[in-house]
Amino acid sequence: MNKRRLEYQDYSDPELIAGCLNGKELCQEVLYKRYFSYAMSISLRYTRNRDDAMEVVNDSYMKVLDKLADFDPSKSFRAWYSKILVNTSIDYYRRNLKRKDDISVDMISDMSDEEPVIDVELSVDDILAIFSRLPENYKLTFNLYEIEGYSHEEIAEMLGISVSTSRSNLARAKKTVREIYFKEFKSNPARNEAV
Amino acid sequence: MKQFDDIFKEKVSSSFSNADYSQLADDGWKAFVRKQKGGRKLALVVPFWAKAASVAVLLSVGGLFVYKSFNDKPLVVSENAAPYKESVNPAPEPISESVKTAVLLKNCQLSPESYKAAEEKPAVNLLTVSDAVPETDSIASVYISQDITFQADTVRNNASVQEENIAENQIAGETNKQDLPAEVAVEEVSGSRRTSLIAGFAGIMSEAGSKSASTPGVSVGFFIDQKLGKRISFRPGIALSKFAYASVPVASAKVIDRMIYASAFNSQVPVNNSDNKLDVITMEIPLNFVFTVLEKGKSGLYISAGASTLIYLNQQFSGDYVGMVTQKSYDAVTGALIESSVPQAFNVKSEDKAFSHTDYFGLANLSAGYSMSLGKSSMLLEPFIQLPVSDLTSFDLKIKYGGLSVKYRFGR
Repeated sequence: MNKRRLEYQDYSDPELIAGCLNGKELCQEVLYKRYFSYAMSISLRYTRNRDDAMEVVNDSYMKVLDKLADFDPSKSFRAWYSKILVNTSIDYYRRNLKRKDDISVDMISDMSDEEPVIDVELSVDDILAIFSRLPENYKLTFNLYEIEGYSHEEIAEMLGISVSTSRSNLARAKKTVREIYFKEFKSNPARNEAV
Repeated sequence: MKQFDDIFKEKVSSSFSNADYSQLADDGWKAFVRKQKGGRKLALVVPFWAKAASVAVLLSVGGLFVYKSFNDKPLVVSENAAPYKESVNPAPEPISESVKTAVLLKNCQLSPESYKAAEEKPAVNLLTVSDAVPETDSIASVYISQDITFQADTVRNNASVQEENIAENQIAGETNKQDLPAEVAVEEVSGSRRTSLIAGFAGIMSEAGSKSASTPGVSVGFFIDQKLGKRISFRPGIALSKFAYASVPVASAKVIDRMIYASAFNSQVPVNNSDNKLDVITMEIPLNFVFTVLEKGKSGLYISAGASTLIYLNQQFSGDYVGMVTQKSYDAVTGALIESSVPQAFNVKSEDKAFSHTDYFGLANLSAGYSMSLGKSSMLLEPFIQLPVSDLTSFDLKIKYGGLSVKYRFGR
């Protein structure tokens, strides 16, 4: 079994996809694991923690297997998969909409327009800590616009909001990120000294 | 110097593209396989449409009972008073002689001559008999079903038998006519008692854990009372209730789960509550059985037992907490990463919208009531208690309810 798995690991994406289409579970597993890190790096930016991110990855992969017959092999599987991941993340956001969290009053009142310079090395965990403090709609808009490269018009359509709301969410997200960074990273002398 | 936003964006992109989560891939795959094989089934157990459908079915059943209670009376009366209706209905329209002859000839294998002979004799009465036959059976159908092989003598014998039957029917008809008013009256009374509509309200005290609600709750509802037997009836209903609690014992995990910065907090460490508030609006669907213990004149005592399903229309939670936050810092000398837990005060606010949570048969209902006549209707006074069968609300609280409901029954 392991020998066969090793063999499959040498397969190209189109070969694995063909195997998945033929119902070969080993191909599904190898393809899943090949893109797992990539998928997690996307879903983590949209979710609250690793468990939720893994759930988004698994939901997305289920969609991948369901829709694999529609996939055009001449195009990049990675790009196709990332689109499914983003869409599933938006679904995740919508599911969590029913539980509305409010940003604390203290947080908003303390926000300043000061623009700190990033002079410390931010790890993934640091970025996730900053993201976790952003309201969901800000985080979603920031990721879709700044990282995925969607336009405000596209984001507005995807989230069912107006273009101006999308713009405002992004501006607020950036401001909040700056504020959190200023409070948590710049105000920590021990940390700055180390860098 | 680059703008902060651009630098941050670059850092996000580079950090995540270099991140390696392959050590989680095996766990991820196992979770995926589980989800693929079992997860879907679990998700299908109570999907949203099923919840909505179950509510719709319950409402429809309630609506049907209401409809029947207002529209069933004539049906009950007509069903039971059928003999009377038949006997008092006007005689069917006269059928021409040619039709009668044709029907008889066709179905009775009777030669024209013998029919003529029979017609001249008492068999003529046979046609007269048919005039008294209930309208539901036409003359033709009566003759067809009888499948008689006519002969002149038997026709005569049948005619005499039919004459006797006429007499009996006429007597019975007259008897029915005399009995009618009493019978209909009885049926009307029993019809109205079979199903009745009840409306009511209740003042409720509740206790979440060991904390009583900050203010009494109120509930308004409609019920349908469907008699199943002489002393037992089924009483489904629908009620809207509102409750407000303060300082409820919500588990730390539930609080942390609702925090904006959830991941910053250590979920293993309990959070200390200084104050919290929970406002809940529920739609309650009680399904109760009512047993009449004592009936004296127009008053009575009864006890009731059953279960209620709670559908939450709104749950607003807010609270001030103190929790432990893990802070990271670097040692100035060695550069080593130091993690330390520090207490931090925070405020949590969350709102769970309509239908976000349902407790199926989450409450056991027990009550005793006294009913008294108010003219054509009656009033019910019913002290009750409701005990939790499972954890209630999205915060998994054990809530007990108790109170007094005042109900008005339309019709006795």
